[in-house]
Formats: sequence, C-alpha cells, structure tokens
Amino acid sequence: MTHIIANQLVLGYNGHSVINGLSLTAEPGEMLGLIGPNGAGKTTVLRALNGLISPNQGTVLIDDQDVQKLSASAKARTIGMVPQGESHVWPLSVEEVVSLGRAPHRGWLLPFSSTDRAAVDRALELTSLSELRSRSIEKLSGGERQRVMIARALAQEPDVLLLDEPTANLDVQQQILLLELVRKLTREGKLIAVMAIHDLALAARYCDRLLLLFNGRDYAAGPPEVVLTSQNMQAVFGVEAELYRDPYGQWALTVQTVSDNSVLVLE
Amino acid sequence: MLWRLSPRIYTLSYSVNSRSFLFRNPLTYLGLGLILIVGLVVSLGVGAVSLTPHEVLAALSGAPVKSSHSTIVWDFRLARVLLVALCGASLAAAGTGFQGLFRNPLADPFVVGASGGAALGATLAVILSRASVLSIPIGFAGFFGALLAVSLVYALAESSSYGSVAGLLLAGVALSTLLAAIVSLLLLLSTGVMQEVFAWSLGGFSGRSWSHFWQTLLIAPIGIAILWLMARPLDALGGGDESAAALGLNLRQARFIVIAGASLATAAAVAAGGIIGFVGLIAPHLSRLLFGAKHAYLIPASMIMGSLLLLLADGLARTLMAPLELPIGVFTAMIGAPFFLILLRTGHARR
Repeated sequence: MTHIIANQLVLGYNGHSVINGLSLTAEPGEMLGLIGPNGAGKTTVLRALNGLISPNQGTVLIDDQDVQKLSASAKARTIGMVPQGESHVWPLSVEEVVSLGRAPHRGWLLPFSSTDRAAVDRALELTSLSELRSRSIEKLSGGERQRVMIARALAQEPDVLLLDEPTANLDVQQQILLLELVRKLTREGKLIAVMAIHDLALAARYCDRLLLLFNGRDYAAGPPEVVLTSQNMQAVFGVEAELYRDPYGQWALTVQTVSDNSVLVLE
Repeated sequence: MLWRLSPRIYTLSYSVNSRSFLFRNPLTYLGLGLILIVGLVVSLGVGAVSLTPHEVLAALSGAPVKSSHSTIVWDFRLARVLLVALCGASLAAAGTGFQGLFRNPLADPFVVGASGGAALGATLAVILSRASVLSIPIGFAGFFGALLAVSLVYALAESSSYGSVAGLLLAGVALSTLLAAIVSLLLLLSTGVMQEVFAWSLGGFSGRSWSHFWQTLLIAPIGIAILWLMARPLDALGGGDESAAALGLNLRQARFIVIAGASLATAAAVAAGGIIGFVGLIAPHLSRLLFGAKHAYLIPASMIMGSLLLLLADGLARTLMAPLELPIGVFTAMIGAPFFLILLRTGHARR
C-alpha cells in the first residue's frame, strides 16, 4: 500500500525558508489535516508533497519513491491536486474539465479510450455530478465547482489526494457536504487525503490526524485531541480554546477569547 | 498611433450565457462550413465587375462561360479570396492560442510583440530598397520581423523574475513600445517612406496573386496545426499554471509550443496582408460564445469565423470606394469594435 513519508523537509522560495525541518507520514484511508496560522506554510507543504517545488533539504517519498524523481505524468498518476480557489477562466463543461484529469494516463494528444471514458464517468458519479456533466462550469455553485475539481483529481486515479483549503468560500452546508464527500472517497477508495484547512473546528471534526504547523516546523501532530490542546491553542493562536465532544459525538472546538496574558505576536 | 502596438493586458473575467453549446451538434459545423463556402462564392462575385453566384459557380466548375468571367474568377479573384480566408483563419487561430495561453479574452495575435517587429521589418525593407541597398519583399521582412520580435520577447520573459506569463506580457509591452519608437524615428528621418509603410501596416490584399497564396499555404497551416495539437494543454492552462502542472503538463514546453505555433500563423498572415487587427481578437471571442471553450472545437470554429470576418472586411475594402481600395484593417476595426462593444454591453463578458 502507498504511504507518504516526508523527512526533515526544509522548504522555501528564493533563499527565504518557510519550513525548517518538517516530517510527516500518511496512510491510505486516512485524512491528514494541515493546520496553522496564516503564513505557516500549509500551501508550501502541499506543493512540496506534489513535487511542484523541490525541498532544499529532505525528501518526500510516496510509495518509497522520491517525488522529485518521478516524471510529471507519473506524479500526476499518483497524486491528484485540488488547488485553492480553483476556477477555469473559460466556460468549459463539467465533463470537459473532469476529462482533463485523464491527461496523465492518455497524454495530451491521443483520443480517449473506453477506459478513459469509464474513469471520467466514475469520477462524475462519485462526486454526484453525472446530472451536471454538460453544464458550463460557470453556471455552478461554489460547492459544485469544488466537486468538479475533486472529480478532475479522481479521474487521474491517484493514490493521494491533496486539497488546499477546499472549504474556503463555501457556505456551512456546502462545507459539511464537501468534507463528508472527501471522507467517503478517502475511506472507500483507500486514498491518502492531505488537506490544508483553515477552519479548526472542521479540521477536528473530519480529519483523522492533524499536523499543526508553527514557526516553520511540525509543532504538534496526531489525532485532534492531541494537537488541539489548550496549551497548543494558546501557544500557537493566542486564544483560549477547548476541544470537546458535541451531542452527536463528534469533535467540536470552542474558542473563548483572546487571552489577556498572551504575549504572542501573530504574523 | 500608426500600429496597434500596445498589447492588451487588462484582466476580464469571462462569462457566457450558455445552456448547452451549439458545438454538441455536428450539424453546426456543417452549417459553418456551408456559410464559409457561401462567403467565398459571394466574395468571388464582388468587385469592379460583379458576378452573380451562379456565374461564379459556372466559372469555377469549368462550365462554358464567357472567357472574361473565367479570367476574373481564376486569375484575379480566387487566389485573393482564398488568401484572405486563409489569413483570417490564421489570425483567428493565433488569437485563440494567445487568449488560451494568457487566460485572457483580450489577448490578440500581436500581444507578444509581433506587430512591432513586423512594422520594423517592413520599414527597414522599404528604406533599404529605396536606397537601392537591398531589395527585400516587404511581406518577407514583416514575417521575419514578427518572428524575431516574438523570439526576443520570449527570451526576455523566460529570464525575468516575474514568472513567465506576466513576464511575456510585460516584455511584449516594453519591446512593442520600443520598436514603435524606432519605427517612428526611422519614418521621420527618411523621406517618402511613410506612405508605403503606413499603407502596408494597415493591411490589405490588393494585387495578391497565386504565388502569395501558395507561400502562405506553406507556412500558416503549420502554425495552425501546432495550435490545434495543443488544444488539450490549452484547456488545462485555463485552470491556472499550478493546476495544469498538477495534471502533469510541462508548462515551459507547452508555453513555448503555443507561442511558436501562434507566432508562425500570425507572421504568415502578416507577410501576406500586413498588420490586420481585431480579427484575431474577436473571432475567438465570438466563437467561444457560440461553441464553448474546448479548444479542439474552438480553434476550427474561430478559424471559420475569422475567415468570414476577413472576407467581409476585404469585400468592403475593395467595393466601398471602388476603384480606390481601402486598407482592410480599417474595416476589421470598424466591424469588430462596435460588435465587441455590443457584446460587452449585453453582458456576455462581464466584470
């Protein structure tokens, strides 16, 4: 089975380092949430996992293979990416966008085979988009558009799904529906989902494990109750917070007030 | 300004009122093809001696007709009309390619410096041949000027710190402005050149014959074919660079191939007809509204649209003040600009 193992990553742009020594692992069927304050480097970590930037130090291994050494199309067959705030500028149809996910398998020139069409159909079905396949993506709601991007990633038939703030700009119902979908896909498809997510309450509720990024490293990692402790919340976000089980038995997080004795200056 | 030298770098979010696109129906393509054939036949009939479509078809089919009709159609008009259609198609394909590359419906075939380079090449050719130093055909000089300018912009952009897309636009603007200044200076310093260069730069197909057509047919289809083969990468680029890279697209390579194809198609049209504006901007825009944005369909649809537009402009150019022939660029702008404004007003392109 596929695993992600990142070892002592040092990441940055133009000599300015954002991440200084971060390690993480992720297993199939698992949702890993990357959390942290603004500018902590969540997107940077996703880009390194996707091989879009090369680490200054350390390696990202997927299935014991160095991501940097994979060809572009081999990478895209292994990793599906749902970028942040993604929107196509042109009025393509849902099916046309999802079909782009077949490029790593079929290339950019050859006509689609029945395998490709079946993969596209399946991706549309898994994301409940079959009915909307001919619709122009400009006619979709924010949640539907996010689903299109997930379907495009699924058409790549990846082992790993990377999502950058998938719930940003969605209303509360769409946020829940989307994360339910990601969880279902992850569990049933034995995918590894790594998600950068801003909303700590949603992160606690849906992620199996969290990785708290702070000061350029993995400040804490583990299940929500291990990571979102009062001490960590105080130290990293400068707020008093409490994680508890809500009446439905799911994790919930209350944030009280900014602590008076907080001496942290957040970026 | 004599030339349309300032590349358009505004951003414009694109929106279309489309329930389902017409291109889903193969008959639409058949229809477009028929309209193009009708356009060609009508164009063949227009001119100093006007012929009915029936007479044109008779002359074309080799049926026994007046020999003057046969001469008019075969020797004078057919080459020109086919050349006009080919140039319209080339400019439209190039415009579609650049719009796709820049994710911007306001990009046109001259966005990365082709017009400035072509103008400088043409100016130098005219000056040199006036001075009896060197005789280069003006179209030939325009062709290489355009290609050289685009290559220079590309090289500058690849080494810029702005990232390739922004770098291309910025280098395109800067180099176009510089080349325009050089052209202005050269025109002011050399006497009697202005008229010829000015007329050429506004575009026109006066006196074009079969040899021009064959030359263009040798080059333009290569550019067009390259662009059409890049249809799927262009679709992917519409989602942004990072998103396209996540699909395994080699961005640098794709960008290079699209620029090469589009510039070849542009330069071929420039060599044949001068710097003709607006066709490459409006044909893709209009086709996207009608046929959707998938480039494999959009490129051929834009090409037919571009051919029709340029045939219309050429027809007007040679009949409105006949026997005086007006520059075709005047008409592409006069038809294109109001049309474009109507599109903007009706909310097809908003924000």
